[in-house]
Amino acid sequence: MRTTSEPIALARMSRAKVGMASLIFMESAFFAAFLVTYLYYIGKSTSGPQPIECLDRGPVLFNSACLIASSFTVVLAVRALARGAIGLFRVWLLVTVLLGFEFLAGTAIEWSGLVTAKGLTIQSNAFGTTYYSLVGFHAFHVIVGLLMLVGILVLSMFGCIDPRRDHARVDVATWYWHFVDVVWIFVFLLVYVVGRVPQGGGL
Amino acid sequence: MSADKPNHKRLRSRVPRAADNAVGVRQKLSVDTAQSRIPPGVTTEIGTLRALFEHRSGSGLSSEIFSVRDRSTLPIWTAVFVAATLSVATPTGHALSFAHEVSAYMPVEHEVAQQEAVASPAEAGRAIGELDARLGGQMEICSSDVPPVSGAGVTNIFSPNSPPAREIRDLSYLVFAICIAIFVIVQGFLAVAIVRGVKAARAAKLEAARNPTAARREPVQVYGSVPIEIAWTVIPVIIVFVLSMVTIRTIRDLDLTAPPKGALEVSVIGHQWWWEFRYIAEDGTVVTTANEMHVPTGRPIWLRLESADVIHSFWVPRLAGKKDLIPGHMNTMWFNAEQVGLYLGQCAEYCGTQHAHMLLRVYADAPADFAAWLDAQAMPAIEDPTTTVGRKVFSEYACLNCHAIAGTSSGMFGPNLTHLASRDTIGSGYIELTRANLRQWIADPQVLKPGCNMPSLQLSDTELDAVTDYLMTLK
Amino acid sequence: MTSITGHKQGSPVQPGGFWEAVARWTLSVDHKKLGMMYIGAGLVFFLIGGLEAAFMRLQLARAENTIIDPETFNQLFTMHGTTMVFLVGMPVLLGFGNFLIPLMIGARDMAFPRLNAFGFWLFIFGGALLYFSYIGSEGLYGAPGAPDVGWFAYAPLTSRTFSRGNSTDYWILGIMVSGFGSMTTAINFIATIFCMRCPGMKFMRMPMIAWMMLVVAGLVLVAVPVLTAAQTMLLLDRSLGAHFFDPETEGSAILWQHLFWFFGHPEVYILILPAFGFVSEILPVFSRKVIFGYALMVAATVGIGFIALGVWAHHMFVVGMGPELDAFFGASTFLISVPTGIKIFNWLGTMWGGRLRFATPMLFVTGFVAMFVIGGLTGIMLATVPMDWQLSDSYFVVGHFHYVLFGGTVFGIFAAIFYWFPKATGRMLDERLGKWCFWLLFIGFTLTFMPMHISGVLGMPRRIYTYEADRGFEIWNLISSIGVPVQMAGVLIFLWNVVRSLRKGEVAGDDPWDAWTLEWSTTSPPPEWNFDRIPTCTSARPLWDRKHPEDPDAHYE
Repeated sequence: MRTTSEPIALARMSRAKVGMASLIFMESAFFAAFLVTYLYYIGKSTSGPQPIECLDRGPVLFNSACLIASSFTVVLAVRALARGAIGLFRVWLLVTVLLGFEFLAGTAIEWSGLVTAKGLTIQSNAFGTTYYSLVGFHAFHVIVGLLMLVGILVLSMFGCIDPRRDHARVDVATWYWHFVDVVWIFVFLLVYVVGRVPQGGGL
Repeated sequence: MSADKPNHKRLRSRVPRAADNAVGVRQKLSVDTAQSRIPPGVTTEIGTLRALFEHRSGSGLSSEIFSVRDRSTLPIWTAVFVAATLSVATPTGHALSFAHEVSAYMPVEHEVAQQEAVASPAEAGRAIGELDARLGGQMEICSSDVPPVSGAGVTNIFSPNSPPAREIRDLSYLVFAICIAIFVIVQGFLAVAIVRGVKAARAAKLEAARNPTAARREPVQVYGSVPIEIAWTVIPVIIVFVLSMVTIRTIRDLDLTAPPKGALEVSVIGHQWWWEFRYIAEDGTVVTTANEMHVPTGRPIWLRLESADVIHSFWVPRLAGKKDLIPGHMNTMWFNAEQVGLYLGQCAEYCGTQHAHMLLRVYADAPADFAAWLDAQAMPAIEDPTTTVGRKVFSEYACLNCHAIAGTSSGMFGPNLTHLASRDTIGSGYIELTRANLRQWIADPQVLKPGCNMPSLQLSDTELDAVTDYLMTLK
Repeated sequence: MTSITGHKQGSPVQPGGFWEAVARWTLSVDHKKLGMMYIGAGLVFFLIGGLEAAFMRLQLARAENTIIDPETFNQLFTMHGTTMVFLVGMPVLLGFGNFLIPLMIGARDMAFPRLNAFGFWLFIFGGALLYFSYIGSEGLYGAPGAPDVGWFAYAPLTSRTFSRGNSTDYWILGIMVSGFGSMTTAINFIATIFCMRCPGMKFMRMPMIAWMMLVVAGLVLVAVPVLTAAQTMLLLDRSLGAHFFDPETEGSAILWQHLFWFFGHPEVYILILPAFGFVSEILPVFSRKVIFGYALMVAATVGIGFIALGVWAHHMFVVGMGPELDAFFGASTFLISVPTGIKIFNWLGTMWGGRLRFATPMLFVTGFVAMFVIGGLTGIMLATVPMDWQLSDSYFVVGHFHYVLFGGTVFGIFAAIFYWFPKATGRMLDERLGKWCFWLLFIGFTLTFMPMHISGVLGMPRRIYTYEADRGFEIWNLISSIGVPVQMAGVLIFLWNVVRSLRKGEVAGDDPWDAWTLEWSTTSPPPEWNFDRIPTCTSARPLWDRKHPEDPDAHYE
């Protein structure tokens, strides 16, 4: 008789990690639908403001740099937490949150410029429709991520974050932030690089 | 049939029954008997024939099946089975059961019935033509725009009369054969497994009663078999490959990207809930008509499908498969009607409230008849001096906002009425065009077709009569 | 009849007043209670959806019938389809997943019990929101009423122009909310199956249901967000004047169809895979044989999951996608019949040489196999693109998918209810009533749905509120309608059976079917913590190994 009838203890995976990975997978499908829709409508707008007239890459590059930098700062924060350096953790987390707010503020400024100066609204044309919905839903996710990070920051201010106990949890929460960043790279490439075609260009 | 009093019940219960196989015949019959132009000796025969047609079309196939059962005392399931087989598998199925009925009700016309029993729909039409001749030519069966017979099984996909529909039918036979073979094999194995399994369970029970210690013994556990599992993976793959190949071949044959040579091009525009057809006549004028499409036989027809509002689908099963009419996306399809006749269909994509009554009528005419029809449609509307009052009503009320009559109005939201009276139906193939029906329709379309986009204009009785008379002159 | 822990058996009714009972259920985060509530709520919606169908069949029993006006009829089929897919199929199957997964993999609860309860209440709220439209909304013509745009809500019929009032908004929001519920449940399934298996429960030892639910959860995570995204776009169109699906201003009506069916087709597999799981658990037990070809079965399940993501446009052959795409999606659809066929053959292989015992669950499972074969074969016909040009949107399609979803999923659900009812409540359902239920449902089902294939072939389009008398549709529609009261009788007998058995049913004991998976090793009903000691697993049939120590499955792994 073989000994396989002896039960094997399974290497336990973290529920939180699997759950967060599933959530990110699901959100990716959601964004994929919006990205594909954006791609589908590139160059289809025959009237109204066009991407090439509206989208100014300069400020967006700066905002993007902030958002991507925030991914690194959050890593530094988690590392600090792993070492037990709670003060450093708070600093890096604060920097992350500020960078995130900068990104949101940048988006808000860009949008108000688009609406007032260029007259581009969600009703203008297919470009307006897809642009505001895609960038808007990304911004919405940035807000959700920021709420998470701010929540952690506030908790740590009140001393509720214990490095040993909560390190893994905080780590998992930051996954979401990384995801929001990665999605932005796709959005940026699609909207500000691929999608900035002359009128009627299309793919 | 009194000509003027609208009878709601009669109207609801129908008129596009005229869409019947013997469409032309029945209409003419009713008119002729009403006008009593028939020699006295044959009136009763016509009356019987009419009653028969009424009866038949009144309750459709069910009446045929039940009458077959009643007369031949077949058990009902046999009758249903026979009727199913006939009506699905053979285009002459309807003619056959119809013949039964004829022979039962009309011994006088027995020979005609016998002829029909063996005949194709076209031959049945000829038989009716002979009957007509014996009745003194009063039936006036063949005219250019009312074809003699449309064939039975009016929308059966298995009675094709056009190359695309026929090729699909032939492919269907192959796929059916494969599927039935798979069905028989799988269900056969299932049946055998059940019988064997139940027997084994019974045997085990007996064994357990005799030998309690063996009670817990289970049958031999088979965990799987690599060769068997490979077999029932690979065989389906082969079948799937074969199916894909024949499918792709048929797609290539039928899904043309350019019109076939010598095709007649017709624009089809779907509206909630009616059809608009546009032709270009010889002299370049655009002919616009609605709901009843005329095409010449023996010539490919290339349809450009568009929609004015939501998605519709053009489906005339005996001519070709369906294709959607999508706003902002032009589709094309083709067919080639081989026989003179009326081909029925209807919108096949849910398009709102009256989706059910977006019926389609395609009249395949002999080429010369078609040319004459197109010429007539290209003419401006007739201006009959006796109907100026009705014309005035038409242009003073909101009618003209939606309906075009060449020379009078140019509305685009409703069907073009320039040659309304040349059509057989109103309400998108739903209601037979008679004076009474038309008057009722104009009085309140919502009664006949609830939810349709045409409002009641609250005309007075005299206005109604005037505008109806006017429209009835628009041949 | 007490187990070693002294847990009282045989009665699901626990002491306490009415409000205590309400609180115990509504505040519960116990996966078993949530699962049962999912199933119970799903069955309530099943009755509502069935009633809607009955009204439709009443109207269609005769040609030119005028019992139901067109607006009402259009609401009926929209609500019937939406209800059956989103408020019956999904919750009942996810409910079974909830109830069974932890028990079958030897866990104490789901990975995220509170998220689980959240998902359930989202589903209830979504369903209530959808049905609130009957009183709270206005339809196409300004009259109050439910959504009437069809369950796949093709643009541009859903635009403000053609769908006035806000019934369509109710449809969007109701489905979206219950969709969020489904997504949280899917996350929970995945985390539970990955992280909560008992010692020894390797992936290739998991019960087939766990595999099916894992694939279903994956499909939910890919497909449902796409629907949510599409509905978000539609909502933006309707409320903010965006132009996603508005052909008047550069929008595309076809894009909606792509997005919807990218969800819609995987959805079909979401609805059928759990039923495959039920069959794969029940059939072996009542054949007294191990499942034939476990590994191939798992491979076929995963294969179906992947191919299911690449077949969506076979719902769109009449859209005019062009020969290349038609050919691609036709071929990919044929391909999915291969793993599906493997499953059927493996079930036959399991029955072959077994000792069959036709208790009610086995009857339903056998009915499932027989009926699903028919649904699968008509599916092959519809995948033959040119045949689809004729049959698409006809009653043939209606017949086809009812063979899959009623003959398949619903029969599977009934099998599962009869099979696991004793585990959930501690009491057996009555066998005699169960057999009546099966035969009435089977006969009624065949009467109703078989003739639909014929009326489709005769040229009857779906979703018409009445039809012409002269087309030969009438007799087939009449037979279809005659089947309805037969099915209703079956369902009523089932309900009576449940009510009666809950109070007076035979006490089940831990393992009434002499089965082999872990849920039968605990008490019936199980304690809130499921297992007194976390069980261990030595093979794919842990209880077989315990019952047959002389010849355990572990030898054959």
